[in-house]
Amino acid sequence: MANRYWVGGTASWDGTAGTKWALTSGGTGGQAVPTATDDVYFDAASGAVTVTIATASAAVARQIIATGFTGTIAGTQGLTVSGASGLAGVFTLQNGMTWSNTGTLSFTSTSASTSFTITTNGVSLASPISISGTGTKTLGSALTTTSSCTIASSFTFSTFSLTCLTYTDSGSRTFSFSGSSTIFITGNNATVATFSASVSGSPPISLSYSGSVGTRTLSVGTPSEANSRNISITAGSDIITSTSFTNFKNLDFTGFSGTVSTWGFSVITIYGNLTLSSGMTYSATAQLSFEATSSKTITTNAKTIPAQVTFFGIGGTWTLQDALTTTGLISHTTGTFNTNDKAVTCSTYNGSNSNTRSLTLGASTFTCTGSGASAFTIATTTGMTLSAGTSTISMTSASSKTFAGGGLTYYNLNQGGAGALTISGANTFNDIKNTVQPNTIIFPASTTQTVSNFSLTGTAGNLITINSNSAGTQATLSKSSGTVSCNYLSIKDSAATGGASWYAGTTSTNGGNNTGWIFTAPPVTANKASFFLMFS
Amino acid sequence: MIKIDFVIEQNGYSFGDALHLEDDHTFTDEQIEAMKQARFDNWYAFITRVPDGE
Repeated sequence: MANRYWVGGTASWDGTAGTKWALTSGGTGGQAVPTATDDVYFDAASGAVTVTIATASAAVARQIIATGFTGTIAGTQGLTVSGASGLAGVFTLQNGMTWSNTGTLSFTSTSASTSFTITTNGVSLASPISISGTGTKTLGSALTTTSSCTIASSFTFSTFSLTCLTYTDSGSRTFSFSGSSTIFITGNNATVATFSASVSGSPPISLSYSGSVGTRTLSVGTPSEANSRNISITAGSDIITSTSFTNFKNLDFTGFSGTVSTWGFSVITIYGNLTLSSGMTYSATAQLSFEATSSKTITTNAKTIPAQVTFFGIGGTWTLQDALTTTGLISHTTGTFNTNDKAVTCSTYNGSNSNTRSLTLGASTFTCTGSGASAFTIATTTGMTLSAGTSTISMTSASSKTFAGGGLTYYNLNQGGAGALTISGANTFNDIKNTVQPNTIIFPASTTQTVSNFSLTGTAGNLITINSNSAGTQATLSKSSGTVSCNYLSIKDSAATGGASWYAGTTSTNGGNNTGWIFTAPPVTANKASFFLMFS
Repeated sequence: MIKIDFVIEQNGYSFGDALHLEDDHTFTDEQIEAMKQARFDNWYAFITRVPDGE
């Protein structure tokens, strides 16, 4: 190992020794060209010169120390800095110097006992950066290149950020970072980020291109929840997509005004928070599968998800930050879906399984626009904790649809579409009501729906038909006390019971096989105030 | 960012949502109310539409 100090003035770093290299700072030139075991110095005594790396594979060093150097490293050929076993190696640039070289700058320490610190001191590089080898590399300052960066080594970002045009990491690596350390990716119209599924501890990723040209592609792969990346697309009005399978942690489009129309696979897994921006276009039909095992948020900024939404994370909780609208199914397999008082609109909701899961509805309106036997189903309730709050589940399809309640306690159920609504299960409701008439509600025969209120009411010529799903067999409605007062119903095979007085009104039709219904208007009851006035 | 939670009740429906605005946004109260109403109107049109084939 030897020291090599540049004393060659403006000249090429190539295989010619000449008088370019000295043993000491400002010393006499004539030493051999540095090898991979030599430490290379550029310093004040080197002068404000331009050193051009002109020959492929000629520029190698164990370390580079450019403290005090005010010149330029130029050229189109690469430089390889290899460190050494047991050495705390450095690559140190001087603030104010220039690195216009566009050859690949490679850090290749191959010994696990080698540590290597890269300190560019605010010098922006034009070189592609390649970091490899088994030794851990550490940033001593922010690292910025206007070209690509590839990391195939364990890497310590400390508190510093890496900025590059495109970014790739590969292999099974351990990254560490702290503070606001971020990987900024400035490129566009290319695969701007390629992530290894086996890298753990990555800083967050920020895609900062702000133009409108082309498509930025993310090659994310299928990392585990622990290894998945936090990705923000903070600007741009271009297109974002991904290759093949794609697992994200946080996915945040705040600041992005472009388009996501396709993902690379039919299912996108999100282990973290999802934030769509109000200015973007989201038309991707890939299923969004939320698979976190801790608490996360979903913010869609009024963007409709044209795809299935799945909640599938044991121990996960997803809390809406605003209304959620999907044209697809909400599949609730595991975890807690907390609507947080915000409106939820989906084609259908399927929470029917035996996994541990919770549906927390608060004051939300939960609208199912779809039809069929599973428009809303928790038919299998094992493991389900339903917190109905003061919510309203509204079934709005114009075709036949089923509310399979599974015998749970709900707040309001609204028949909000022209298609017949079939109810299954011995459920409990605060109220069963309607916003559309005429229509039909089919109750399960030989089964009791327990209600606190019963607000179904049609209008003249637009009756609400109530019957059971088995002609000739009654379905039971039960209210413990008070008075039910309805109008414009057509009632058949219905038993009204429980202690309350069930008045169908004079405008309703008795279709037969009914008990408990009184086909008159409820009696007018005088309250204490009117009684007092009457006799005072 | 600031978050404005709101509820609109119209036509028998109750719609809860939130607006997320920049801290230094310049929207007037009237514009914010219009955005809330637009959210409801879009949602209401969505849930009351008759899908193809129905």
